[in-house]
Amino acid sequence: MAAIQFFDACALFGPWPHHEDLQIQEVLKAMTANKIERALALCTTGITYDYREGNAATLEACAEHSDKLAPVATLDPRAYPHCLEEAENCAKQGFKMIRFFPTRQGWPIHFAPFRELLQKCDELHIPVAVECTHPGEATELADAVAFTQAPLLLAGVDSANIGEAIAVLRSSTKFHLETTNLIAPGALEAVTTHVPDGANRLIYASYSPLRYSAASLNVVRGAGISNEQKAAIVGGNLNRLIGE
Amino acid sequence: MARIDLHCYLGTTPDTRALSAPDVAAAKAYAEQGQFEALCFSAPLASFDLVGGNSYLAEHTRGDKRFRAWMTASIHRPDLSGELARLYLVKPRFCGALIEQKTDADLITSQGGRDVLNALRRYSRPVFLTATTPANLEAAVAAAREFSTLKFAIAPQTVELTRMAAVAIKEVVNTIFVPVVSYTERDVIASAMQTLGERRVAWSSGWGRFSPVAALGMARDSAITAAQQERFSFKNASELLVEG
Repeated sequence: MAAIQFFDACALFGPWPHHEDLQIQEVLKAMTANKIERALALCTTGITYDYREGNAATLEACAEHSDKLAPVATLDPRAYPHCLEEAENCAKQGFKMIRFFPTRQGWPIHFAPFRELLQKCDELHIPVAVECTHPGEATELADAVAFTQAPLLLAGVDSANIGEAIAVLRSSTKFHLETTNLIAPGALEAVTTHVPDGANRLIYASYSPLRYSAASLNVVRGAGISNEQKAAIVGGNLNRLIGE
Repeated sequence: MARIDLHCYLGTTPDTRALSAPDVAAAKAYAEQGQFEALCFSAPLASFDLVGGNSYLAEHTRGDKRFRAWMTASIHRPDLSGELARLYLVKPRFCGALIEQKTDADLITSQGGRDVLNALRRYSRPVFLTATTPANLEAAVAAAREFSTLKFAIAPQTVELTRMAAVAIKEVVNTIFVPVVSYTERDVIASAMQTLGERRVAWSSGWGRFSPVAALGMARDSAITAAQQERFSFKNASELLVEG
């Protein structure tokens, strides 16, 4: 995989429950160790506490390390209607993506404020990533976003739910899938085989330094797919997704 | 580096339901990829069919001297588990017994669990215990304390339990901790080595459920010394399997 540009769709920094704080220096160290040139970064405060504070911290850290990190925002639809305003601010401030964490934050995907927020993100042409960790959530999300056009990244899907994810990916080309938890043997190959243009719909995300970067990266490196497909998964697709 | 893979799967698992079931040919191909002294398989079929699953495992681990087998026992079928132990745990190929605690109805400290552990005492083989809830992790610790002549390998099956396992088992010296890549945050391995000492943490890939390169990446990304890597990847498992 020589001369491939590695671009990670999710690096985290900030406090994390029951874990030592995730330091920005740890993010950068893990990137260097795994030859990852750029990452979309996110402050965990936005997930666990308050998205306004989290987004501000993300912007600040990414400005300080702009050669390596680009900002991702979080929004919480429970903060309706303010979250609509924050979505507009995020687009103006140059956030590359907005992430949603329904499971972690405890709100349902079938949720009127979320639907409106997704519509807003679509109008703003900003890609979104939505955590879909349980069976049925990706299907529910697909039904909820039938009206949107912007790319949508399914996050947190694991190999046990890959059949559902493949069905959703086949339903519309706007859907993309994070590779983080797709660590069963043959999982990436299944997506490239059963989804039209499948290799261009997979996005590498490490969730480093909370998770071991090399674990998920090795799965892409070791997959039985072409080097061109691997290059797309670990960087090219994300560049395209966020319009760079 | 020589390795022992302390837990792999032969047959369909929840993570590979939509993918190809890992079979013997694939297991042999995996075994050729590294310097494996032993690969210890369990059969997911045995979770539902004790007789059929253990028989399948006995048949399919034959013929490769590196292949070892975990005989699945069930706290709900103590008599049958005892019979199967008499049949299989006298064979050198069977390295020990695997007992799954999938819910709090499967506590190893239940009467059925105690009966199974009593039956296993005569074979001097280790017991591989899974834990999926705080209550059954606690049960695993209590059982190991009560059955102090047996050795226990404890493999938590959630991120939260993996995070707390080393502290939970610290005082019970006949236990070793086996982190599962899918549930392991960084840097649980280094932290567990600090808590438990370098002799009580062992590597498994979960091959069959997970691509082994993920677990190799996890080991590589851990902040442990070369000597500790050797302990983690080989020596600790070797001592567990030899000493029982």
